[in-house]
Amino acid sequence: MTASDAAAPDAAAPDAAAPDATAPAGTDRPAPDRPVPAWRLVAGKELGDLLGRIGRRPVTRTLAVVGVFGLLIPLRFSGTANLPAFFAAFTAFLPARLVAIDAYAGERERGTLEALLASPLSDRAIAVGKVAAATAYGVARGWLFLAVWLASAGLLRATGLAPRAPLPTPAVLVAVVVAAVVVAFGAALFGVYQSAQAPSVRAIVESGGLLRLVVILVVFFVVPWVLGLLSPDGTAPALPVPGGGGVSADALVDALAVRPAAVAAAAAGAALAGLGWLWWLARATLRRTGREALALVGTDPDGARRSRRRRAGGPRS
Amino acid sequence: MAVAEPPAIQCTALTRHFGALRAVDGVDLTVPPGVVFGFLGPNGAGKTTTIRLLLGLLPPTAGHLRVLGHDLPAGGRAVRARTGTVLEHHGLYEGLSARRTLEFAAGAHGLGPRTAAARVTEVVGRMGLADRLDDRPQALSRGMRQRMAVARALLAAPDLLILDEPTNGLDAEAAAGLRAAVRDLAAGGTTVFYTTHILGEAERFCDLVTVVRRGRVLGTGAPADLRRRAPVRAVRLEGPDLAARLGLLDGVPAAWTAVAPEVVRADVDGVDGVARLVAALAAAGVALHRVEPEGQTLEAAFLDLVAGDAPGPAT
Ligand SMILES: Nc1ncnc2c1ncn2[C@@H]1O[C@H](COP(=O)(O)OP(=O)(O)OP(=O)(O)O)[C@@H](O)[C@H]1O
Ligand SMILES: [Mg+2]
Repeated sequence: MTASDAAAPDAAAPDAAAPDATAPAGTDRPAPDRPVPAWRLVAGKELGDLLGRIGRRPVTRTLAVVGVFGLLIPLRFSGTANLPAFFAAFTAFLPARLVAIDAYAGERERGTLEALLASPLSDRAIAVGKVAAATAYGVARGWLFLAVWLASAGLLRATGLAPRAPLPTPAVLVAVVVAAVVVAFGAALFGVYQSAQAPSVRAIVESGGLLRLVVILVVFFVVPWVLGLLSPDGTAPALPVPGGGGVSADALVDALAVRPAAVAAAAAGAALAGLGWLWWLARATLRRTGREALALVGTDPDGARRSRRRRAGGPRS
Repeated sequence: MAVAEPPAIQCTALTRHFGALRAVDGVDLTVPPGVVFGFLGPNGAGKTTTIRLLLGLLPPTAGHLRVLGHDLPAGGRAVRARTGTVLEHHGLYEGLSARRTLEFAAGAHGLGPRTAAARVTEVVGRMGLADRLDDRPQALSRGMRQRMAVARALLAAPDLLILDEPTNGLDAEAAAGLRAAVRDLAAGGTTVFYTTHILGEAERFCDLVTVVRRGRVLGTGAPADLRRRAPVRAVRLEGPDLAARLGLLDGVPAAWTAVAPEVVRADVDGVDGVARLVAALAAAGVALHRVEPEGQTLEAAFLDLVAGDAPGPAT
């Protein structure tokens, strides 16, 4: 930097602070007033509006959930120490989903969507910002859960009030930290995808009621039960196997461990399928959130489906 | 050498259907730059739909549309970058202070955070609401929300200002302030596209107006020109002792009432009726100082245009 840079008059006057991409960072010269990248601008707006509307409830709720699921249940049933880790991932899922389904449908209902679309923000920046906000909120809630859990369990152990207060193993901890991000992102993307073409949040909530029930049942009861998270002694139950007999999930894991290559291939396949789904979903979401696609939603709850059917059946006009 | 500037807005045969409903039906418009253009029409005329087309928020069913030199809907983003809008909804976020919403809007127009903050304070100050910037919309009165929306439209010094009934909910003073601010911008070259059904306002405020109904253009012109197309239904006559003198006449070819001893108001049928009446009075030796046709307001012209538009099936 040059002497004239250092001696530059105070350029904090807003109009003088034109964006200057070449300015070196880390000098005491006031930073140029660069515009915030569009998607971050949208994400910031989304989170600010969300927190402004919901207040402090999420924090108190997290405390309650940690108290019940994170501490009391594991204290009562010794084998369930990793159950809270499992719940941390779902603490990321639900908030991300709730924010995401509100992304377009909620703004549509509250009347603000049109002003947003009349701005020069690109379709993509708006969609990316909304997915980012929902993801960030879900991740924050999941990690908040973990942090509160670790802190309170640590405190209970340190003070000797509950020397066996449940703490996760480091491997489980890392897995949950990562899982919270993946889960929140998937929930955010799928929620925004649904939100784009829904006339209202209620319409999304009302759709897929049965599916939701099945998913909740599987995710909250079957999966933890199979994993042995729900049994008091921490052992997985025996699964009925066609052809008689039974095999426990633990036995299954033991059996698979004999064929690491097959397990790795299966895991890679599952991961690829998951990535492929996310990729497809991301593209579909961008298509659905283009201004043209958003234009007519909401005038008639069944209109979108009808026009889709018309397009599929009749000739394009 | 001066080249005629291209129009700020030009559309030909612009059409937008919603199913069987023709919300905008073959509209031709040419709005020169720097003009305050009034787009007038009754409820459901297609004003808001036209605005959505202009902003590239809705693709047209047919027709051609060019705004600020960009073809739509492809050039929508470039148009939106140079346009300030006041839409039907104020667009303020419930969870954010008005300041945060406006700073967001300024950021969307590419202003850096510090520039945006200063600009918000400045523009909202001009709308007289600097002390309410930290309130959420729920805490603002309807007129205040509308003024915040107007302030947002002015943030980025737009080349085109699109205002959908912007004086809705504004008190007389705020409406006058808005008109003054918009006039200033127009003087600086900003084109203003303005919808209203308050015709008195359009009459005083717009350089050029178009009347639409059921998606079709019924008439276009300067307010004064349109006004002259309104049918004359009455005439105000002034002359010495006029009321008394008319009372003595046998047959005055018009129903009349005395407003004052010197002033008389007579019902006539069009400009020809005025001519016939004046000729008859002259023949009878009645002196007149002043003949002033009445009722030639933009509102009368508007109602006449709308009445002349053959009613179609109910929409
Ligand atoms: N999304 C839509 N779906 C179906 N019909 C629509 C839609 N938007 C507008 N219309 C119809 O198009 C016509 C024109 O509506 P528009 O909102 O443009 O009227 P307007 O001139 O702005 O009326 P107002 O003065 O009441 O605001 C109306 O008959 C309306 O019902
Ligand atoms: Mg309207």
